[in-house]
Amino acid sequence: MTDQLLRDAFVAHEHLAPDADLALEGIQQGIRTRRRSRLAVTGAVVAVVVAVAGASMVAGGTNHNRPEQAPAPATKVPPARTTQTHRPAVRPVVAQLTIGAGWLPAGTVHRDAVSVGFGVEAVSYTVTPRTGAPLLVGLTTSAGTDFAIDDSKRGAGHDLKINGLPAREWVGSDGSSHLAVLLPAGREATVDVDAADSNNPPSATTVTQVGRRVAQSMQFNRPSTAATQLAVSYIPAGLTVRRIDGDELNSTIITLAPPNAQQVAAPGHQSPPTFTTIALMPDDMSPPPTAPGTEPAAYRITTAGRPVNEHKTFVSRQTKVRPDIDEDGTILYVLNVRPGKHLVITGGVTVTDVNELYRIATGVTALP
Amino acid sequence: MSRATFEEFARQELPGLLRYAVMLTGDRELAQDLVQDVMVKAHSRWRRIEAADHPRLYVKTMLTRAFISWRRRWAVRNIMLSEDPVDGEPERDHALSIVDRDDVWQRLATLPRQQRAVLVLRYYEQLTDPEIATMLGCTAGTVRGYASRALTTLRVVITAELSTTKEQP
Repeated sequence: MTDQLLRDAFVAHEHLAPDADLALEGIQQGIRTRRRSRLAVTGAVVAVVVAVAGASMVAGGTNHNRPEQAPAPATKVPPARTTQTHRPAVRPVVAQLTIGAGWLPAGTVHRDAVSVGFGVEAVSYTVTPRTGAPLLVGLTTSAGTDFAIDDSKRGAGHDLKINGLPAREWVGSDGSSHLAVLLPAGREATVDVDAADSNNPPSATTVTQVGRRVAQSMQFNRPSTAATQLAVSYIPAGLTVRRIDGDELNSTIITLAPPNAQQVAAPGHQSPPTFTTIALMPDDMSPPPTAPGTEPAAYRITTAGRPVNEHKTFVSRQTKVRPDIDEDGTILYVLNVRPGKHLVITGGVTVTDVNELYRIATGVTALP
Repeated sequence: MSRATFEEFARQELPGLLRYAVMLTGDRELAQDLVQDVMVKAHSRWRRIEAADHPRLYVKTMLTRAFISWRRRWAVRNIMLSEDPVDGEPERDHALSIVDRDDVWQRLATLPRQQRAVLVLRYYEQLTDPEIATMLGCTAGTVRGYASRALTTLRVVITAELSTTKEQP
């Protein structure tokens, strides 16, 4: 790495600079917008001050019949921006990531989803290359070596080295490419590349090439954040946010569990325990109940609940608990918290009191 | 100072500020967003800026600090995109490509923002470490630390890639 090489690298990319006239237009637009919003805020503050001054005079019985100080009708006070500035900020739950792609094919890249918690980090991108078919690229790191030591995968794939580390690559029956790399300290990274559009699949060579190059350039110490669409102000005692799954277009799921709990199946159980979750779900993807009813096959009965933050609710309870299965337990649905979206508060094995589910739901804000 | 003066300043300095923003962000659209955000703020405090000894340096400092503290939500546009085609021409041999400017440009995208900013200021803007320290609001020692770590990272990544190229079947 020479100083000259760095200088050359910078200078060679000066042509990427945006058009100055376009930028100037954007600046002028920004100045106009800022000016308009300032005027609106100033107007609001003036109106509120007038209203407050007037109201205090009425309360004190000191109306001296001076028209300029007459109390403003309450209806004239604009939506209280001044109150908003004093309200604590609603902060979304934010996922902290350390992995990321150091290289992706040239084109449009969009981070679709992240998942962080219980020792796993995953991030997926949709890549629309400038040339060729769109791709889904997924990166995951986890404790353990499930993929790399799985004999069934060994039979299907082959070993190779990525950045000097042992790795295995295999192709799925759907043409997707998978590459698992053994990291130090018993961790594993996987890169999955798949077609984003089944009607326009990339070539097998492309999928493999992209997978290898993404794996070679994967970053493991690249802090970044992903804000969810949920703000949570109440978490039951003994629980903490242990996992965040976010999908920009579809859903956000926040898992609450005891600090030391593991997401592994207990002896004799079929699956890992179902912890408490707070989920924001689209109605069309996962329709909420619309009326009370029973689901005998699922051992569930649904009843109307009491409103939460003025939203209609339903409560779904289990009618039978099977000892070898960690089921969802009691579920509270809160409808229409955002257009086309509802909340699902699932008690799991960690919260069995429905009143606690109501308290969680009341403290949740679904953000735009 | 009248608004026209801000506009004169903008017209004169925008091309350079946009080039500088591209070096920081590595992305045309991000660069434009960054410059626009900062220039709108600069307009609101123009009296203070025009009174400064070096208004251009003042705005460039705003730009640098804004870049370092910039936050985005889900959409990730700060991933450095390569110029390599996915379909089409076969990939060049890495052993040949790792020393070229595009590859270095891509590697720069993997650096933390402070480190990248230091390299841009040192090698593109050709500022001294004390000048960079003033711009970033830190000490010259910190600047040297950022630069050292950035250069080490770039060397390690390139060495690792060279090693992979040799080991791959």
